[in-house]
Amino acid sequence: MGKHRLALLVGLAILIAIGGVVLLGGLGNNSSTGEVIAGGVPDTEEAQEIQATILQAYKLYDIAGRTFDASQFPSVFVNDPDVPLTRDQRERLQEWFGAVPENAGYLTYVIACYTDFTRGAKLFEEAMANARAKGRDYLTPDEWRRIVELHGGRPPAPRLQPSMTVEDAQEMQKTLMRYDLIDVEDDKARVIFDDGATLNKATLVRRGGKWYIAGVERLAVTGP
Amino acid sequence: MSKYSRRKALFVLTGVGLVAMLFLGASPLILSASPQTLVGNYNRGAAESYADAWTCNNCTEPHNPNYNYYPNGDCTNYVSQVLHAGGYPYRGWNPWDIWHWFHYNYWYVSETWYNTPKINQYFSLYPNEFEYRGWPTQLNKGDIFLFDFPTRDNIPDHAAVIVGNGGGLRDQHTVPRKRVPWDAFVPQGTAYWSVHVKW
Repeated sequence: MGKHRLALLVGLAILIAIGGVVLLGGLGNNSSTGEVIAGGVPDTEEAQEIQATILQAYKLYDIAGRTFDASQFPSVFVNDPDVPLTRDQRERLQEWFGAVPENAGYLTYVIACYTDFTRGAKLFEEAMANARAKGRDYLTPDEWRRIVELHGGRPPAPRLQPSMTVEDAQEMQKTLMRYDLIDVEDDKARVIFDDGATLNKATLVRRGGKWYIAGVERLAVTGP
Repeated sequence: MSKYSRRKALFVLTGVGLVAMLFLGASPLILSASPQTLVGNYNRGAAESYADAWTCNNCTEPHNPNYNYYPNGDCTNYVSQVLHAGGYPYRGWNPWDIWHWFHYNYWYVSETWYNTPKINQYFSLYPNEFEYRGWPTQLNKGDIFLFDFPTRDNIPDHAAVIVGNGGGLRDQHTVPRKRVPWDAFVPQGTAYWSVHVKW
């Protein structure tokens, strides 16, 4: 009996020790936030070019959301075999198109994302146009269910229709951007930035003297 | 009745009793809730008052102690509280079922209550109660809108509630904002789901 009690106490002590190690390890881990705090933004021409490229991406997101025109994305984004998509991004591609294309990189991902968005937004617009033709400015539950079904069971988001012009929105975006780290090594740059609502880690590559975004991984939603 | 039959009956009765206790103990509303369409009358004024009461600007985020609080992402939890304050009732009992929506206590809360993509799916499943509109400017106070920020995945990242007569303003958690213009501080290129509460 005494032996059993001793074994039980030893077992409990081991469990507590393991728990303590796990807890301390968790508290002290080198998180992305730690990187951000330790990082910096050099005052160089190439750092400014990198910032301009990232800002331009927001302009193109806006244009594509308003017009469904994603044709300018290759001027800012690129597929790079050294910068693979994240697991979440691969899963999204699989969900949107049933497969992940070979050699898919961030350019493929962004185009696919807006293709899927456009598909949903057009379903919404067509359904609304039909409803208006019938004298309604709303969708019936059956009409809504139909477009959700056609959109793979996901509620589609409508086209962007802000009152602000793209240029004014770009000026506003400049005030929201915060760069925590720009680390350039040869033709590759690692950037951590907050766009006003999300904290992101981007990888940019330089090709022909111009910077392109080869990957963006969201680290956190910081809230607008 | 044989000894075996009595044991079997006792086992079944105990099971039924435990299930009944779970249901009745959690909330009597569970018994009235069903995946059928609910019929009610959303009180937009009450929803707005609640929204205003539990947020602020440039402050430590306030939270109602009667509900869970998620300091790293409380937006949808807050929006759910506003919806419930407007009279929209809990539905169902299964925390992982997107047809259900409830917060009975700290441990017993549905994913649709606090998870932004899940609440969007929930809204979408009940078009008799929630109507998706084209843009947040088409919403009224007490309505909900969801954001997909520009580093996109076509899944909502954030939720807020429309306030102000005629709409146009928003309240939210994470970060706390009170009566700011509905699109203030929002990155360029953000997409929205604009949900009008019809219930």
